[in-house]
Amino acid sequence: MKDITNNEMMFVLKVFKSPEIQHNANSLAKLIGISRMGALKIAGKLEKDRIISHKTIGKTKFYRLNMENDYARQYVKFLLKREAEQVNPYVRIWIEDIRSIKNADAAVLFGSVLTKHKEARDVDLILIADNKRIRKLEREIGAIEGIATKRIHAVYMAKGDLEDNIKKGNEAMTDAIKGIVVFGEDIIIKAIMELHK
Amino acid sequence: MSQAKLEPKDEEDTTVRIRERYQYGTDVKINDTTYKKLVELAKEVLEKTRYIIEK
Repeated sequence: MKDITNNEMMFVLKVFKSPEIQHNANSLAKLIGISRMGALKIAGKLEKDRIISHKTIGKTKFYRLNMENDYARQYVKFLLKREAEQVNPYVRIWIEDIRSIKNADAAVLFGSVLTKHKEARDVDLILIADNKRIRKLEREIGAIEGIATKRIHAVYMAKGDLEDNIKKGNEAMTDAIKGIVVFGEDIIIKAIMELHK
Repeated sequence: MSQAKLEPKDEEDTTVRIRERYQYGTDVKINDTTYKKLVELAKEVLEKTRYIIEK
């Protein structure tokens, strides 16, 4: 397997995390901070590997992920894990703490901590769990906060709620899923992949 | 004012217990604000240490 460059990783993750947008080479080039030719080259390689496909409207190619392809889903999962490993050291501290949570099925870290790091006021987190475990989950969050300098602003939701909110185009939710998936990648992929079909 | 004692709160003082505490033990009293400041300082030290390890 050839190495996956950071730009390729960003290309795939930008398309994956923004299912509400139709991406073309120009828009992706701007998002990633590369040239249009660079974006086209990456798109060509990913299409060859059947990770993305395109539809042409007018003269423009719009890209989407081939989420029905298991290889593409596993590829996205790997990139989500890799993204979580490559974050700023301050964010990594939080990721490690959040990974200790046992009573949730998935967690997404989002908001200002990803950009402002230590200067962020609080830590925004989506936690996917059923109602029965919320109490235990709150206690786990309390234990993490007990030794941390910032408060965790957790949004608790069931798997179905996450999918519904994403499908309805809830702006807060579509912004939140652009964060870092701490664990439960399969659940997040399943919730988002419906919009890529 | 927070008060930390060596004995659990629900245990009543006895003459023997008081004598032993004064002879061998210590009572710790700390002002609430100072206590909170110390806790926050400890959290910061912990966070900075972890940051250095992660870097």
